[in-house]
Amino acid sequence: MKVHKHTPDYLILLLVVLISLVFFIANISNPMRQYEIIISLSFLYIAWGIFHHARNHDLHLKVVVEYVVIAVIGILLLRGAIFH
Amino acid sequence: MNRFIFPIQHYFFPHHSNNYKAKSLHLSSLLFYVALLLLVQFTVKTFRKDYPEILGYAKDVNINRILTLVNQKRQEAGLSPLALSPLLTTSATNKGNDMFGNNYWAHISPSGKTPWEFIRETGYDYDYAGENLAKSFDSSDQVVDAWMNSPTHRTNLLKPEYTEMGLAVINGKLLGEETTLVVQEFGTRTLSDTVAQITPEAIVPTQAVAVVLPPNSFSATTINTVPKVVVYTPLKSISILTAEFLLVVLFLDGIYMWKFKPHRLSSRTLAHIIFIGALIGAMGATGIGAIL
Repeated sequence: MKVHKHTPDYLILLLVVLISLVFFIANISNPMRQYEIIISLSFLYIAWGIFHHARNHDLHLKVVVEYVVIAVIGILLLRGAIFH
Repeated sequence: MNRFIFPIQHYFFPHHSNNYKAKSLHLSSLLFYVALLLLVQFTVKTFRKDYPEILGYAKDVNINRILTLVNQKRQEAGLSPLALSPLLTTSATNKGNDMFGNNYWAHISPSGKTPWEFIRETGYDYDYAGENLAKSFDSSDQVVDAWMNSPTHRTNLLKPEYTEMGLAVINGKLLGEETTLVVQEFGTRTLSDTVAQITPEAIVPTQAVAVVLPPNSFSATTINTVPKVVVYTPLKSISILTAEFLLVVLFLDGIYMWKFKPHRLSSRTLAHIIFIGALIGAMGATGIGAIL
């Protein structure tokens, strides 16, 4: 069976996201900690994007900026939900 | 017809007009969302301070209702109802204020102060004592239901040895969150203390509050802690809607990428779907009432 060349990278991303979600839910009574977890996840997401595109030799400033902006959107969305 | 279809294609679907990536996913659009979210969050929070009655809805957590519900549960279990003790209520109020003042969510304060110390400080000598905490619930019924669904809290509520209870409902900012905190202290006075307290003045309020407490029978401190209206804003709904919108557009983009595999210099749509999907999941675990 052919394994797609991106599969290991996406598995890493899924693992990071799932672990973050577990920590997030475990801190259901501590909104400040939840916010910190989302900020950490966002940084890890940017790091994953850079790592993934570097491995695929298509790392470009525009691509990095897209990951950064999506991560910032993520932080803002959760800030709105947590501190409604 | 094209006049209506073209904007939809341009903004939401990969198309030759948008370089095969929905305009709503272009960097300029993403930056626009960031600016819009910042503006909305800032406006809502500023507006909420000045016009609390416009943005949001009222919370209904109050001492009378909690006392009634707790005593209903006890009577259903064949137990005697609890009287509201002014001393335990003062203790609960002090504990709640200490939690807000020192920003913690725990039975024992960061300095190591236990609930028993708060109780003893008011001059209440007890044979048995206990504490239940709750925060961020919308109604008194939700608070009592959550306690009843937790074996340890339920044990406190239905402990036959308890004869009295103190309650405080306090609004404030705890761990970065605007919340309504409920502190419930249980107690059974030591026999000598009870004998000392048996005076006509002491008996009357105990009998009067056995089921429903008259609203004006609290001390001044307690009255101040009962919230009239707690305002919550639509920020969570805006966050959920924005995330869902992004997820839908990303899915459309992902389907196109998977089907046609165009060569384009861009971040990975699937990665964004995983990230935004996780955020939507996380939003489901925010603003939920918690008990301790």
